[in-house]
Amino acid sequence: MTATNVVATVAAETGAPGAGRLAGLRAAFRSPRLLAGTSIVGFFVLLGIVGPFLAGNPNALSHTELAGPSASHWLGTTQIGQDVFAQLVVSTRASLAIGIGAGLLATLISIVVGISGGYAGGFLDEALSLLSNVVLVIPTLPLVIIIIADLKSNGLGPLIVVIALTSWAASARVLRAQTLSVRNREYVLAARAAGERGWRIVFVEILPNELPIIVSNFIFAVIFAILTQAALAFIGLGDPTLLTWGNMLNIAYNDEALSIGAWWWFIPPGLCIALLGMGLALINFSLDELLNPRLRVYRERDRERRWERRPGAAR
Amino acid sequence: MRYVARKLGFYLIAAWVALTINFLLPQLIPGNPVEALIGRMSQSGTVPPGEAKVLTALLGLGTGNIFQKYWQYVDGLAHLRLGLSIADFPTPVSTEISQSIYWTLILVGTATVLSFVLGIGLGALAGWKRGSRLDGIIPATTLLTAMPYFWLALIMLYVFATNVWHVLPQGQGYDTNSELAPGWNLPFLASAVQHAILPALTIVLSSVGGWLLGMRNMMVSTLSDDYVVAAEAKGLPQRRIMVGYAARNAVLPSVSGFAISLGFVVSGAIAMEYVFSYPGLGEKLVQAVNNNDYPLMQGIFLVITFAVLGANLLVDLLHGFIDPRTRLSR
Amino acid sequence: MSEDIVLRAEHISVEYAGRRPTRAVRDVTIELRRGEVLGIAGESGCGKSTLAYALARMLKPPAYLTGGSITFFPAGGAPVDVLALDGEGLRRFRWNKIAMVFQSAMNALNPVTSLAQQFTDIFAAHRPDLDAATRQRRARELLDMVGIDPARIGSFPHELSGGMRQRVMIAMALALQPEVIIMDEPTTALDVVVQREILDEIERLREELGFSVIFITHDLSLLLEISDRLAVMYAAEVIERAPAELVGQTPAHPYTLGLLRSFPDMRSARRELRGIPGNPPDLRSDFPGCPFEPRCEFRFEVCPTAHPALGPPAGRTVAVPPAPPGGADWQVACHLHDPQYRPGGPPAGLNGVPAADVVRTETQVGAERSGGDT
Repeated sequence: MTATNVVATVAAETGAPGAGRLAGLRAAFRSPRLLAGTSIVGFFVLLGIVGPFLAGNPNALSHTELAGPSASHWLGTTQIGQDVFAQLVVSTRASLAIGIGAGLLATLISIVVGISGGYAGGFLDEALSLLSNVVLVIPTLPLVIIIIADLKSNGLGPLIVVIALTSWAASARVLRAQTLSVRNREYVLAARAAGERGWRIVFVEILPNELPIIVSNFIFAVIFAILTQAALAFIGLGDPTLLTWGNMLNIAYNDEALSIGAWWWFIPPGLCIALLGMGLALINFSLDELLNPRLRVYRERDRERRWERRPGAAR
Repeated sequence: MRYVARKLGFYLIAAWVALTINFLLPQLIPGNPVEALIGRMSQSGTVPPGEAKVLTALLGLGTGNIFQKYWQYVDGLAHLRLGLSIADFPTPVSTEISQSIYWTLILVGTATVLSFVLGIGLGALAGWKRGSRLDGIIPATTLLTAMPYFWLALIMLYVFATNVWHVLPQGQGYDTNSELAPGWNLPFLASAVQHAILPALTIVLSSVGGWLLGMRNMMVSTLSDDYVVAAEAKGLPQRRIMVGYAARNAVLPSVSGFAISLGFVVSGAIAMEYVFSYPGLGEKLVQAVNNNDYPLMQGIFLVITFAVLGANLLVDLLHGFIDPRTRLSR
Repeated sequence: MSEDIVLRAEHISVEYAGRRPTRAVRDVTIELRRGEVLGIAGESGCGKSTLAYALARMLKPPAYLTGGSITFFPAGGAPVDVLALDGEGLRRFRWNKIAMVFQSAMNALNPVTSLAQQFTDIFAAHRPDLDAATRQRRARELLDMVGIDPARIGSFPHELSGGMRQRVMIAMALALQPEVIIMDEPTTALDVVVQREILDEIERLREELGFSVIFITHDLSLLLEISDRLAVMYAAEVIERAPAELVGQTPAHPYTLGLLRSFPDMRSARRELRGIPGNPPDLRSDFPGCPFEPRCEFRFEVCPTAHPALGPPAGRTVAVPPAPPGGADWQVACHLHDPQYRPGGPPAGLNGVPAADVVRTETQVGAERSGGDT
């Protein structure tokens, strides 16, 4: 079932009046977690798109070095007088771009590998499955570090590709499992009996029904990509001139921000990563609860109290 | 037994893939890395004869076609000819690795096990008493999990060591300023433990959330499974149901998920060791990268990867032990 | 079978919480006599499983008991108010006095522990004085009793076939020698051959050990065979309650009639199989009239407006043979049997004439419809 179908079903189950697709979605959005997650992510995306035009020059030097937050510098300044807030805003765009780009690529790869393996079965499935498991089990960051170091390239493209190439395996495995169960459903069998061609079946029957999982996988992939890129930039790999959150942390750490106590410098970038990650995780979490009714929790206590106070209760 | 053989076979394949990747990657290095390396080495001292050959084999740049190169590479590794480190010339790479591996193993190993046990335990409780106040810690743990390891490490350092309170050491594996001699003596061990507290705490705080959430969700899901309902109908005590019926089944995905998360823990540990200047493999790796010390990089990558694969194998075998059904399946 | 009642549940109502609560059991009263088999029949979604769980105090949120009382009368003991039990008292009551056999035994057994361990759990929880050797012996005896090789005591559930697992569930239910066993569709998931074996096993054990059974299923033909009395549920209510033998021949409620006509009888003449048109009603609504009325072929003016209460069926005193021992309280919730609304009695087929004569041809049905018997 697609996300909207499931949502409509859920709404109908709870007897919402006028339980159509739109009403279902509206009910879904009443979840506070989903609301919180979407607002956080939306805020960062907006910041990334619009922010750099409004924030000022992140590279401009000034004479107020290592100053705390003030009216002219909302988040203080760095060791050479650059405005931390401006840097933060500009970093948002780069970090987001890398994260979303790598996440998208990783999800694409996982779709291709997972679904074709799951659908085709046989030797192809065995081979792709083995590939996924092997890639999954090899630790990511050391591999990414080695590749980037050997490449000696600071470009964004290679970075995105490398991150994507090392992180698609978990999603692929999940999609393969899902495809294995979907391909035996009646509508797929019917399509095959009707002579529909393989790739058409995949695109029309199978893919739409796995959309919720794909969305969830994509969100995880983005979180992972952002964290990985931040870690790489932090330990000094990648383009040192590209302003990203990880980069800011690297410079802050190496310029002794800790001992000097310049908390306004090293706290905000990490906080942004954490908040964005949390927002994405919240969306994922509430999507999960929406699609799996067993995870929903009913507030037991009120009903039990009402039952105990029923007239004629022998207590 | 077939199960064990299958698992062993898989991990051998994975190890082989890692080996091969390690062989292929240096081909990406622009220019002639062996010459460059020899050149830098000779600036620090005399280069032993044959070193060039070792390096060539190690980086997969040997003579002949690709199979011959591969054979030279594997041969070199089998004899542990890992080369000499560039930055710490002329220390052999194998020495460097064996020096740092203990620190990493003990720290990361202990902290991971601790957070696994803590996370699973709390998650089981939270799932068992769903809807209770215990569920309130979930948003907090979600935030903790989303935090990058190294940023959390920075904050820990800032708060406990550098700026706010000065209770814990600022870095290193032990107090390098004093006259402590590494070894099995109490003052050294005490200092080592003291220096391990912050890094370990960082690891535990970042990863406990993931375990907790996963276990809690599985518990909630398992609680509506028939055998749990049946167990309650049989009048079994609550504790027995929670542990023997619900948790034991709910923990299975976490055990298999341990494999994936071990990769994350190791990855996180690298950046974290860098922050704390902790003398483990991770810090060595970062140093090596910043120094273009290819032999060291290669060696560390292999060691880390093989260690993770080995741990995964153990966990998989454990999973087979806990869940008798997996022993039968393909 | 005696008049002695072992379990009485009165005015039980169960609701599933939601924006519009689903009332799955509405004011149901049943009595189980010592040593008898009481069958509960009905379509999927009529509330019979919910009732079973309510009786065993196994309801879980979002299901809540919203009314009624359940009293258990142990042999040679004081009556127990089952709903008042709580905590440790409830735990000790469970399985000791009332045990349950669940529908899909595949899932009712802990997949990761052996059978021996699961039996031990039961004994450790309720008979702590038994030592390990005695527990093992007892467990093996139980397996043997249900026809499983005692050597399989160390197996895991996935190593057994479906039929074997169901037998294990029955063995576990018998472990503490309860007085009542509630069986919720115990054979639905099994093939007919195994089903026959299990039913024979249950009957044999019942004769040997003397427990009472509440047997729940949608298969009315099965119930006719094994129950002493049976209750038919529709739309969360009991709409007919009667001795099995009699209701099989002369059903009083149109729904029961419809159920009986839905399966072929191997011995009678070939006839047209008829189901019951329409669907069961939405249990979130309230029914001002009779809940079966939209699907009933005998409905008349009063049916949509007044909710029928359980009462004696008409015409039974005349055509029915002498009541079998144990009493034949026969009740049906249908206006057709209410002399206030139909002084002339119910139409042919519901007035005590044996069901064999109920077999009608196509033309007769057509004539009846247009001629108007309503």
